[in-house]
Amino acid sequence: MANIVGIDLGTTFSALSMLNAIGKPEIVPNADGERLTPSAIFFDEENPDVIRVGVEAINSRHLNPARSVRWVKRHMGDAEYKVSIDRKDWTAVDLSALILKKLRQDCQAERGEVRDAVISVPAHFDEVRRKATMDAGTAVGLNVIGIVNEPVAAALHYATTRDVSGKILVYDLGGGTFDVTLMEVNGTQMEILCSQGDHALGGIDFDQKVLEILEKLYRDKFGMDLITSDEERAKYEDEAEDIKKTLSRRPVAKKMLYGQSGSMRVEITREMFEEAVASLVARCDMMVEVVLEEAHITPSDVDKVLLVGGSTRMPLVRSHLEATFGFPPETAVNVDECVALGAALHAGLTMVREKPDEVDAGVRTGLKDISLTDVCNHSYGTICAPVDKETGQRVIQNRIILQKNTPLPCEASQMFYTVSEGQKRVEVTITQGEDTDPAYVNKIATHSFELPPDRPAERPIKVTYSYDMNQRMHCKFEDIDSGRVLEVDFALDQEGGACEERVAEQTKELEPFKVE
Amino acid sequence: MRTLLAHVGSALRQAWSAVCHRAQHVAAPPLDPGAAGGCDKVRQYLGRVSVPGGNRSGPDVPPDFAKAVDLGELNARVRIGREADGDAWRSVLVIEICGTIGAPDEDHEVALEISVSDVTDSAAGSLPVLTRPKYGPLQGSAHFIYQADMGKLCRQTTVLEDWTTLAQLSPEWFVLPRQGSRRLQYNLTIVSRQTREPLAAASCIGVFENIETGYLDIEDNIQRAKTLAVGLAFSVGAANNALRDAELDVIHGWVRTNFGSTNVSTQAKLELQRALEKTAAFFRKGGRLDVQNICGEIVDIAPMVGRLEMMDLCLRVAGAKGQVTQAELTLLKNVAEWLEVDRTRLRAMVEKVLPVSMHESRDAEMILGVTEEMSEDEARHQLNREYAKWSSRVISSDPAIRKQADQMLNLIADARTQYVGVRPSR
Repeated sequence: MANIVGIDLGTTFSALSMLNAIGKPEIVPNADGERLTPSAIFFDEENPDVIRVGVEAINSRHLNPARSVRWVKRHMGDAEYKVSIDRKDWTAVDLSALILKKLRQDCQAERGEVRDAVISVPAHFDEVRRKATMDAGTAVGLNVIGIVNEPVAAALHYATTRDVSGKILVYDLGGGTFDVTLMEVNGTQMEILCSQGDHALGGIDFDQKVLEILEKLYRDKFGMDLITSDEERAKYEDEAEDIKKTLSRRPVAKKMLYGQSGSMRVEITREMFEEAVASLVARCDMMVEVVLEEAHITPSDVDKVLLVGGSTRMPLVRSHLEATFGFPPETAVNVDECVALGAALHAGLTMVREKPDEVDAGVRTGLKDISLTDVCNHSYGTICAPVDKETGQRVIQNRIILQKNTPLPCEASQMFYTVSEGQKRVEVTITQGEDTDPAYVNKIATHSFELPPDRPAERPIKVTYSYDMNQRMHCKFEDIDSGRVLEVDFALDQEGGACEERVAEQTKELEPFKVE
Repeated sequence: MRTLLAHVGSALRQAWSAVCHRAQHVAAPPLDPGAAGGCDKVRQYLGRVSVPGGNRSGPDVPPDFAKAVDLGELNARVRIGREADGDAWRSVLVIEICGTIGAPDEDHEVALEISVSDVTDSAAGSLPVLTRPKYGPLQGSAHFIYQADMGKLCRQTTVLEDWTTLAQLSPEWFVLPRQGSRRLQYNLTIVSRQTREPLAAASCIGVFENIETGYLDIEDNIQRAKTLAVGLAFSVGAANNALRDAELDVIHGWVRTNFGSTNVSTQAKLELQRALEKTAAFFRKGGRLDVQNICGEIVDIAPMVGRLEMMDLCLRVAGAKGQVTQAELTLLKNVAEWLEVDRTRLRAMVEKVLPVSMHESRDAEMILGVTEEMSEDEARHQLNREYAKWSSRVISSDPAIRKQADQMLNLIADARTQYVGVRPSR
């Protein structure tokens, strides 16, 4: 029987966990014996075929930042993001694939063949980013059987290891992203109620604030810049992260700054830090409030707050949550590992559902009582041209058909009407996003739907979207008069030939590189 | 000030009158005539018909149209009627006929066609009456014709000795050329359904008190509103006491699109250019217009769709130089208020035309929708709404929107610390 793994592909750290013989997830340490692997990549100058991933990459970063890459996850799905090394352009998918290759390779050395995997992503990741994550896994030979939202994975692990029930708020402040998810938990039965995320908020933003403090202190004393090169920036970015971590444990952090105009000793107090990060914490507070508002509940309705992600170690984060909810957040679960552990559970559940024969009996038994009801991560809609009530003019608008946070599986329909007499076709666009303004939503597909000729205006067209547990979406456009139908399917694991070719190409391109 | 605006308007109108007239029928007008009155309003009360007797003479009917009823031919008349509309009543034009209709045979199936034209101004000849579109601009609307099946005529020759109601026309169905008292001519034809040949015809004239803005009024209003929009745009451009070339370029571009077409004479182009240069010189010398007054006039003559287009012009002028000053923002807020464009819509327009990176100062109301008058709780809710909106935009596939979303999230967070505060950990 195959090994089933879950991977937390994080912005700053990644981890891999595997289901044991009785269906319990366990973190598999990397080749260095570490349970977490820094999501850092360094392209060796001496040996261009060797790519270092993890602690070694972090340590080498100061020597040559131009050959070093961190925080790739922030760029996932960004078609314009490329890192050029030795005349090769590395995309976010390529770079993520290198991290996954390292995780898989280290696990295989210890535990044997690894194929079926679930990779976690922030809840707010859109289809493009989810697909990119999946492609990265496929490119290194993984059979990515699913994608799981990080807070969902964390809650899965939490609910299967502790006796819990009621409304649980999962507060996931990681290295680069932030998600808040509200769920109803009853033993091992979990129902996601609502999820919101901030793609541009995480531990690295807090580090940046510390770096700004250091730069200001130096400038105030010497009137000159502390950082004058990429190497120095890399060094002080790491120093800033250290200071942040120190301040989570102690009220003061002390450091020596060595700039070109001289050196100085600095003391950063927690107060200074908290003042500097006030706007970031305000964003966290707002996200919590948005989730509660969306779920139509108040803080007193929440039974537990579960912390996920290393950045939740900051006392300011914890004290804010305590002040909001009136009780301290739950800290019993390892905030760095719970996502990977939950991802393995999710992988097991997916395997049991899809290919039960390939799952060990012990694993099947271990997972049999767990039930999870997930929700749509985004709203899906179509572009239409309703008449603006105020102006009487037609306006181009995105109309949401499937609402975000609808429990899966789900289906929703809306009726639309042709605009003009003799209209021969409708251009149907499938969108993803919450806005009514089409400029602010992502258009994930556009098709031309041919209609019968010579008809009056305002003929009805029924649009039905459905979304299943495996994140497969089915869109149906039906001309009611003629019965003509246009159907479009989307699935993260089923894409057009061009995409498959691209992934195959990526696999081939990565093969010659040795990851250490 | 008004003299200058009148001068600009006059120059624009004179230089482009011929072109404008043509352009109105070619390009989509920025003002939506369909929205001038609004169908809902029409339903309540649309007009008053004063037709004392159709073909029979009466006090309002000119002598040349008054003649005795001849039952040997078809006669028509129009009178006002009322029709139930839910709990209310609405006016309808009741078309009645009497006289003779001859058919090729018995049980012949016939249909009715009524066309309406406006004959108020005999010098101008008859003007068409247009079909009112369900929504959207009038431009391209067909001439109004009422058509209905009349069933079968039992006899080959039908003689109606009494006035018989043939049709009820709702004034909602058409648009007249002008507002006010209009003389309308109704041409009735009864046609064979098989051959479409006319079997009998009659016409009558009635006076109709049109309370709605006519389509020619709308055209005039469009021209006037466009001229006023140019004045507004110049005022916005000069709000920070410096009218830049980039701002002028936007205004010139708008004028070219709205007052001209490609086939205008060189002379006309020159005149227009001179008018714009004069206006620019006026503003560069410190001249100012009464913007509130201009907006007031625009509100009177332009529907919301046109006002939004003017607002868009003003925003583009303000953003032409890549940065928007506080003075410009303040003026834009005032213009929006005077044009009766609500704040939510204004903010949506500003988000698109003047992204926050262009703002020289941070106007919390314009950018985030929070005001000094809001309580802490109201400010918190408003900021939460903005945060939810922009945090979903931060994963847009458009890099420009992603960047804008990033900036907005930082501003929202700063505003949160300012309006609501962040408690320290101790």
